[in-house]
Amino acid sequence: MQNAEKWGTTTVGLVYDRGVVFSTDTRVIAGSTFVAHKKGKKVLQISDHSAITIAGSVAFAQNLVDILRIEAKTFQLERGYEITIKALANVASIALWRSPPAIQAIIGGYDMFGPSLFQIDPFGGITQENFVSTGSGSPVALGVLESNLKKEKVEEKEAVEVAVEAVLTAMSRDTATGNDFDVAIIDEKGYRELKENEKNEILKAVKRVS
Amino acid sequence: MLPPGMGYDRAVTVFSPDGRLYQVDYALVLVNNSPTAFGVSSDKGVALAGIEKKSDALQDRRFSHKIFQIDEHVAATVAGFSSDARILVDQARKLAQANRYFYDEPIDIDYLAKNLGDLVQSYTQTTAVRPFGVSLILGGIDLIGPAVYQLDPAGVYNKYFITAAGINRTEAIEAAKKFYNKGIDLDRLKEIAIISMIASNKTEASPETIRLAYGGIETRKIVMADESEISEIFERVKGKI
Repeated sequence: MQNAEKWGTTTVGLVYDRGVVFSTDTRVIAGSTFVAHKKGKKVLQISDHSAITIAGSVAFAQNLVDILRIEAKTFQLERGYEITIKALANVASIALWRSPPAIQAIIGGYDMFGPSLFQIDPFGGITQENFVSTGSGSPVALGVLESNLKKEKVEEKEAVEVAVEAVLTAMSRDTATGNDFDVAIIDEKGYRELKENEKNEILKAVKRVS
Repeated sequence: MLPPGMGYDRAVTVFSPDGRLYQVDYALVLVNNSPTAFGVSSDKGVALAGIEKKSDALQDRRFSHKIFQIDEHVAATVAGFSSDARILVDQARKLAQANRYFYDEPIDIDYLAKNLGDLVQSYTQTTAVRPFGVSLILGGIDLIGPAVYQLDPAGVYNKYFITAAGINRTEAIEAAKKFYNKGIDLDRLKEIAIISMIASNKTEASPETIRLAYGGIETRKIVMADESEISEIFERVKGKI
């Protein structure tokens, strides 16, 4: 994405054989250098089987998440099944197309067709991806994803480790990315976020030398 | 002297003392006396059929107001006033395209039937209007699978394996039931649709008067059969009844 430095953050999403993994950092930047918040949540659940990662303006992002949650819930009630990930991404793209370019988003999850992942650019463009990264740290994170995801399909454990590795690498090379990381996994059973002890296990597995 | 409805059929919004909306009942009478419309669905696909007579030999038979394409994956056949049907069909087409714009998905047939049902219902509860004089049978294949729905002038809709509206609808359903199970393939569905038309319209049914639309889960598209295809199926099944 051009002007990636505009969106001070790093978020990563990737598809594995039975689901989708998201990982993000938690640093929130105000202006160009000030760390306004150290534990900002950048991966957010939309419905039972979908989630979004956000980069850019917090106000726009929170509003988008509100819209998508209402849309997903209404869809479920009116139609009797959970909205597909593609449809949810399309709703987000319309919302972004109608507003000033202020955020980048990754939407992913699990529906009747299996796992899927979409990137939405600030103008509302949609692309379907197997792995993707947004934010100022994305050039660094994409390098890690690109070199580590050479197989057609990866399993959950490997997917989580690669996603975390990508975010940790961005944290060490991008000043707008840092503090801590979050991990969320969506598969057939639904959405879950990794707890502190689970994240520590992954840190041990990744074993980075800084 | 009061008319047969004791005056309760003078306005659609007024219930009779025995709890009826006579104008809605009369709309159903109109529908029940109109040329037959039929829908059948299985796990493999759907078929819609109808009888469309031309009163004038100079009318072009290729022009049809019996089965309407709503979207790639759904069509509707109607019994009743075709002019009233057109209003519902226009609305259905708009809803289908709005769904594609907003969700980038084919519209759910259930949701389509519900929305049209809401419109039809409003004409049973609004003053200075009359109810829709039409029953609509929607058939198609959405994300959930093949489905057939029927909507009546009261705004009530239901999902069916086999359904029919219009004159001799009972005969159409009974004939179809004999050949039906939930696993039958698209060729069978087409045959059942034609059989039901022949059984319910013994004198009028012919390849010229029967309309047919169908779609299978392989293509997830509803297509209109042309006269040569209907004729071919007609010849194949006419001995079976």
